[in-house]
Amino acid sequence: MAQEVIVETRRLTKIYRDFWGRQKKRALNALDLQIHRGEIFGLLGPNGSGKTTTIKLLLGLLFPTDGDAFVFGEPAAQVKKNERIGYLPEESYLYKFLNAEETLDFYGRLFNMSSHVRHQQAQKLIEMVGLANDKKRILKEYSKGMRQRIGLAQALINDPQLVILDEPTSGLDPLGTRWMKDLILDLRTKGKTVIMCSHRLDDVQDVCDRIAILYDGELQELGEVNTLLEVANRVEVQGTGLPLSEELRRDLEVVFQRHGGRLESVGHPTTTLEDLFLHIVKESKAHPGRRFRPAVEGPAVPASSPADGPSGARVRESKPAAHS
Amino acid sequence: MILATLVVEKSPLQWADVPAGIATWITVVGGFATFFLALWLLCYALGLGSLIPAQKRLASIFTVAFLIALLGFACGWGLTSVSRAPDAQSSDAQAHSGGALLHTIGNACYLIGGATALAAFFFPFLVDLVQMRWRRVWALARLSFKEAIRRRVLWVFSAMILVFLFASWFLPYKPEDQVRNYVRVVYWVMEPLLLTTACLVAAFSIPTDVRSQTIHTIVTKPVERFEIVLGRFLGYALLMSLVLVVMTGVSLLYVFREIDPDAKEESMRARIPLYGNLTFRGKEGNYQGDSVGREWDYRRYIAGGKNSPQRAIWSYNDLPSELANRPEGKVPCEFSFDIFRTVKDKEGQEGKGVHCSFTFQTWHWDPKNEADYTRARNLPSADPNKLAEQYGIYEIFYKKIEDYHTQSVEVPTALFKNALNREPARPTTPGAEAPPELQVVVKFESGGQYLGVAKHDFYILDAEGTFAWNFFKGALGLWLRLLLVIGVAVTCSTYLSGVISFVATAFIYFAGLFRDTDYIKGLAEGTTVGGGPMESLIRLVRHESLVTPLESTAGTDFAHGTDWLYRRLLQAILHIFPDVDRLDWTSHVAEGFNIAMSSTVLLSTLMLLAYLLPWAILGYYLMKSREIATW
Repeated sequence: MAQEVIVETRRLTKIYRDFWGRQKKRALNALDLQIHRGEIFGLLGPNGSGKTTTIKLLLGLLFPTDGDAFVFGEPAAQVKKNERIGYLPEESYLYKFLNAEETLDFYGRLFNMSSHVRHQQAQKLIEMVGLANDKKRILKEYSKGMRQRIGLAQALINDPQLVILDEPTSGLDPLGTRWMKDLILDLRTKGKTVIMCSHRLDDVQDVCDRIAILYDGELQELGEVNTLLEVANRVEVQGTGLPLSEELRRDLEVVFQRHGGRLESVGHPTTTLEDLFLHIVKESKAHPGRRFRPAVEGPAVPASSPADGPSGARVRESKPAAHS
Repeated sequence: MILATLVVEKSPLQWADVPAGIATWITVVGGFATFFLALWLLCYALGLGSLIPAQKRLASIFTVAFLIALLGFACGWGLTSVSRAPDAQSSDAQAHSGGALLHTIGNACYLIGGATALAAFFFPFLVDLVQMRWRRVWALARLSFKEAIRRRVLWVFSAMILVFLFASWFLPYKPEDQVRNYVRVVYWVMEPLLLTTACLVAAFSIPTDVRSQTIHTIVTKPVERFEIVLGRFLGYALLMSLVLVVMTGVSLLYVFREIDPDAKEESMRARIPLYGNLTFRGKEGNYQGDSVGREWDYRRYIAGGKNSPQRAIWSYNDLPSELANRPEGKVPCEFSFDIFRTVKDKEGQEGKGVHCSFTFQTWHWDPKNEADYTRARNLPSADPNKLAEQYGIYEIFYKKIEDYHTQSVEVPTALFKNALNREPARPTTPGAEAPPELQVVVKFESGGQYLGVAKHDFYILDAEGTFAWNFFKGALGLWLRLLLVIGVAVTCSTYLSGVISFVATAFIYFAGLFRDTDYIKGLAEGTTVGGGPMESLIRLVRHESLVTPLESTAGTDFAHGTDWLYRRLLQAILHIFPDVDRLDWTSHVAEGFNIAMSSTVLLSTLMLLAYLLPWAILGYYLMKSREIATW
């Protein structure tokens, strides 16, 4: 079934010119893109690749030199479409002399929200982003992470159908990053479309359905994350419930050779640093007084909790490797 | 007793001037709109600037409108030029009426051209106006208000105002000038500080938003660009209005404290004068008064002397009926003339002073009755009131005049009863105006001297207002100037940086202060001696004197043509600058004259709105076409 196209660009081009009209930089060149309803779409690329330019063109902050951009079927420069969009800029460009409540109230007034709904929504979002204790403080006193959170809150004030996030995890610690990613995934479950711009490739890999990779204003790659990351000429096998031994290695070599392949390596898989960090924080909260102990001789101390993380890795205390 | 004098160099605005003013506005602003359309179409054709939605449709509309406007202005110029040709100006009635008709049609063509350009200029704005929501504008206005309060810029300037208010402690003045001085000090302190504050906050608002990118979170909401402009304007206007109200209240308390009782009696007033039309009578039929060589030609002069035929005459029509019913039985008339002496007082008569005679005569007065009147007047039992009511004349002989002083004479209400008596109806001659209801004829009795008079030097004291309310009305003038500065600064800031916007606004304001000086007007109207710049250059090169007419050659004709173009451009440019003088009513309050609510305040407000409207539309275009994000 054809999915509804929320965002579409047709040969979208942006050339920056100086005051005299001379071309200075071709920031985006003939970008053709379609983003469907309910997907999380990632825009990747190094600095100067055109990611932010694309975002700004979609939001009407810039005007295209050539081509078209449509959001919800309307030209990107149309103001009306903004009623269904939420935007979190890379830096928290909010008014520092307002506090959190005033900030959300101000942005809520810019939508067709009654006073009661505005107040309710603001309180709900302040709670959601964890700023309930700081809602009376002006934004000038906030840390970067707090400003990022209130920025997200203003992006969601109108319960938008399309959420555009520019470097959403910038300035957040791993806990905040996890929280943000969970939130983004939650938005998708609610049927919202998310466009995410990021340099943090692991964040994009974790949440995005499809990605576009830009370089020097040109679209270099476009597709689903899993498909793009699949290395077709390699096979990966994971197992559990058996020790790693030389006999196992020999048996696996035979199996691979029988099928025309070659065993490259066998060993324990690793978890991600993020999962390790989150696990340790969780353990610390659950067991106050927990502290690191240097590794001792003897068999490995069993992990204190079942396997965490998507890769099935196990976390254990560090100790010198026991060689068989 | 020293009272007050009000120098009024510009005729006050009248409601009767509004239709002509609207026509002029359409023509002038329409001319600028035509220029704007040309510029827009040029940029579109060359592919310059940012694309905005529906550009092609707009280009078609603008093209058609521009062509019609251009045709209108061209026809208007052609027809009015022909109407000014020598043949059309001849005394021949037919040619004259033909010239007048051409002139009228030419003006109509100007109007049509201007109106068409204006319609196209306003069109996109009106379309977007439908999308505008005052709720969002109010939200942005509140934001501006809070921002200015919390950034504390305001408090610094307000503190400075309070300090400067005490400056009068150190200024020497005569006791009778106490109120005048206090009023001038408070207004002159409030004006630069409040205007500077308003200009600063308004000029830096949008550029700061753009630089700090806080505007990104607004523009990405369903907010029309013009709502941002309007919201900023309203927010700062509201803020400065509140500041002005508080400052004016504090200033009024300051003025009221420890006032000399005499000064309070004399100056703490709000006179409502009734001015007449000033004409002169002399030997020649079209006598306009004499010039005595003063550089400031505000006044014209009549010669003194027992046999001098020269008179200054103030004529009044539509006298209020209340003048005939004054309970005290008298109506005060105040005046302040200038005395230009050509000889010293004779020995033994120093300080004797000079004298004027006043004759108040109504339209009922018939010179044929002069003999009867004189006889009745000379009777011991003569009652001037009854004589005034009966004959319609009242005379004051040899009133001593003092230079630089305002003086008063009292006229019986009976005279006004006579003037207001409509029976029989005022005689009219076909083609001529009806005689005025009241004339005040002034004769200067002192030989060898000249009496300088201007229209506003003599007035009937119609009524009195309250000083405090008049003080606040004076502050209204400052409020209008604040709106002017905020409006221009916000418009400039939609495209220019904060500093440039501030400087540009300041320049426009100060240029508005000087645009009506005699020299600038002379340049624009071509009345300066020696001609325009090209003609002056020719005179310089050829060492020709300023007053010698130049020989008509191709070169001088070209120079005259260039100078004509220069004058038209200068006239157009002068329209960019606001008439700031009209919004300054400090002298009214300081001298104790009422500021008329309807004719002065309302008309000035209308004038300001007419000035700010094109700026608002310009701000709309600049903001709409501007790329908010930078790279």
